[in-house]
Formats: sequence, C-alpha cells, structure tokens
Amino acid sequence: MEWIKFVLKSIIIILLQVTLFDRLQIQGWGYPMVYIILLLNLPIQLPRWVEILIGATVGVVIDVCNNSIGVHMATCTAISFVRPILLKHAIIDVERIKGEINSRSIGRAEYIKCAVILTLAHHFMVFTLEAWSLQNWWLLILQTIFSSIITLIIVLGYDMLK
Amino acid sequence: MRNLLDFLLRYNNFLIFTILEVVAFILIGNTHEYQQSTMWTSANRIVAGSNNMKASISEYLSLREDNLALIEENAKLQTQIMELKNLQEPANERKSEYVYSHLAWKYTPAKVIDISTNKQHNYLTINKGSRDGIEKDMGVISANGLVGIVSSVAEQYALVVPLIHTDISISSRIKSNGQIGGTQWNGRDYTTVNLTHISRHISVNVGDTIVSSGLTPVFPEGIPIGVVEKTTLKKTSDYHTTKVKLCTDYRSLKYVQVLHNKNKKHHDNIYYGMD
Repeated sequence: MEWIKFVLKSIIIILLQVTLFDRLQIQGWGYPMVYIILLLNLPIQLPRWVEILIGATVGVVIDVCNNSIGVHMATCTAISFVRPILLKHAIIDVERIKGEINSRSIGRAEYIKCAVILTLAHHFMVFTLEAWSLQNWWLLILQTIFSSIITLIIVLGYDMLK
Repeated sequence: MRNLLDFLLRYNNFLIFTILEVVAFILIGNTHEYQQSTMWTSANRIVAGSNNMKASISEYLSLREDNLALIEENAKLQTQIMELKNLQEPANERKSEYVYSHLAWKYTPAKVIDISTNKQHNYLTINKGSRDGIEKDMGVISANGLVGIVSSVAEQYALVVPLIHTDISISSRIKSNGQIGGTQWNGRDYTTVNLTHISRHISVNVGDTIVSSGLTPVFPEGIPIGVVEKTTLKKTSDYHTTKVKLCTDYRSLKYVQVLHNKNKKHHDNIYYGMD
C-alpha cells in the first residue's frame, strides 16, 4: 500500500517538475528542482540499495524528459547514497524514527538542516554536470544558490502544509 | 573467492552506487560527443508523443496568435518566391550546378513540440524525423532567422541544438562589412549571444545585422542571426566583445524549417575526400 502511494506521488511530482518547474525562466538563474522531495522524504528503514535504485530511477525519468541523460541520474544516485549517512549524523536516536522523514518525525531544525545541505549539493551537481565545464563557475554558484532558495521554499512549504 | 563474496556482500551498497555512477558518467560523456541515441532523449517516442499532445493543447489555446504568425510567414514566403525568381535567371545563365544559391536548398516545414531555454545545454524537439528525410547536421531556421542544427534523428522526431547551447558556434558575418566571426552563448540570457573573433581594427556598430556566413554547407548565406546590441573593446583584448540580440525568440518559437542542402555531398567530397 505504501508503495502504491509512493509511486502515485512520484508520478504527480515528476509530471509537475517536467511540465512546470523545468520550464520556469528566472533570468537565466536556473530553475527549481522540486522532485528532490521524493528522495528527501524516503523512510529511513529502507534498505540502502533500494534507496539508491529509487534515486537512480527518478533521475533517469527526469533525464529522459529533459534531454540531459546521465546528469540527474548521477546526482540522484549520489544524493540517495549520502542521505542515510547525513541523517545518521543529524539525528541522535535513529532507531526511534518510523516511516517517512519529515519535520514532525525528526524535528524541524534537523529536517531543515538536511534539506538545505542535500538541496545545495544536488543543485550544484546538476548544474555542473549539465554545463560539463567549470568555465562559468560563478554562474554555476549563482544558479545553485538562486534555484536552491526557490526549491527550498517549495519543499519546506509542502512539509509545513502536510 | 569467499573473501571476494564477503567483500561484495559487505560493501554491496557502495558497489551499486559505484556501478550506477559509472553508467551515468559514461552516458553524460557520450552525450557530449554528440553520439547520443534518440532513445534517451525527448525525441524518443513516448516522451515526444506526450510533448506532442501538450503542444496540440496549447496550440488550440493560441489559435489567434498562430493565425497572425502564419499570415506574417506567408508574406515572407511570398517575398522569398520573388527573390528566387530573380535569382533563377542568372543561375540558368551560368549553368552552374555548384553555385551556392537558394536553389540548392530544400525546405521541410516542421513544428516545435518541446523546447527548453533555461539550461546551459538547451534542446528543441521537432515533429519531423528520418521518415521525412531529416538527417543529422541539417540547418534549422524560422521565419525570423536562424534557429540551430539537427543533432539526432528518430523516425518521427528530431532533436535540434539551438544557438542558445554553450557548445555550439555558428559561422557568421557582419552584413555591412562582410567580416567573419562566430556565435557563442554565455549560458544565461536566451535572447542574446556573443559574437567572437572580430579583430580590434574592424569597426562594429550598434545596430549592425549579423547573418550566417555561408562558409559551411549547413546554412546558406544571409540567414539573419541577430542585431548588435552592445559592443565594447577592452584595452588588453585583440577582439571586440559584442553582444548580439537574437532574431529568433525561442520562448515563442512554434514553426521551423529544416534545410536540406542538395550540394552537401559535393562539399563533403571536396573537404573530406572521396571514399
């Protein structure tokens, strides 16, 4: 049952991402990647290899829609590999937490901390891989910061509303 | 063997992670050599099909503007016909098949079904493919000016690299004095590109028209690219820094024409030798 819910949620969020958020033109300052919410909120009890495979799959779907094959796949795989390690450092008693990760299950400060770190890392990696060069490094950093702010507003807003 | 199995079981997560990352990086590396298969792009049938549906819905909602655009395009085509008629006579006189005239080009109209403008590597997908005679490296133009070059082709769809892609450079010419340069996008503003390699002794004025040079077999001479918006000359630089406002508005681009150069084979034979 949990699985069906997750798949339906993924389809809706990915559709929103590729039809709406990927099309946003913010003066060339990048675009929000809201689908990161799918990877952020995965339950912590999930076996790590399952989490990595989910990350890679989400990445491939986004890539195919964006003509950026490999970029989101590499990034999402890395994010889902790093997330459990980060969570273990951020939360004191990991065993206590059940189900989905959100601000109520792990505490608001911890959730915001994890979301900010993972979003910044994710966006920087996507923009760098997309450009495939560090020639415009200042543009990459500006795009990362700007897009991350918008993504985080949406991600944290969604978390509060739920 | 047992040690190996132990090792694999112990580090299985890291192993899966590494394998997936290697696959992803190989895929990225391949795209950057323009060797991509259309299966993994928006020219693949499922994604292109859904984009097509999306395009037809939004098309219905903007019928009025489309009509106006078509009327405008019609007028432009009429003038093109007139120009061609004028061209035809001297070409017949010269009896030269290899002259780069407009007669050597065949136009295939196509509809844009998907476009991105906010990435460093932007693409647009059109609804014509190998079935309609589209090939890799063909030029793409719109009623307003130059659009880009076809990068990969599926049966019904093709993927086009527009001018607003950081890896593309199109040979171009300043119309007023004939100087040759190249376009280069800065990765940020989808309405402008930079004009490179114009030496400092040459004068570049704001308002000069930039057109395709006709030196490559991809575009005929004189397809408008843009108008010089701003030009600066640094004391230490050998070249002008020139910003060109593009003729093509990629955000509202709907119809394009794919150019087929009938003389391309001759050109390639001369450049790359006969096989």
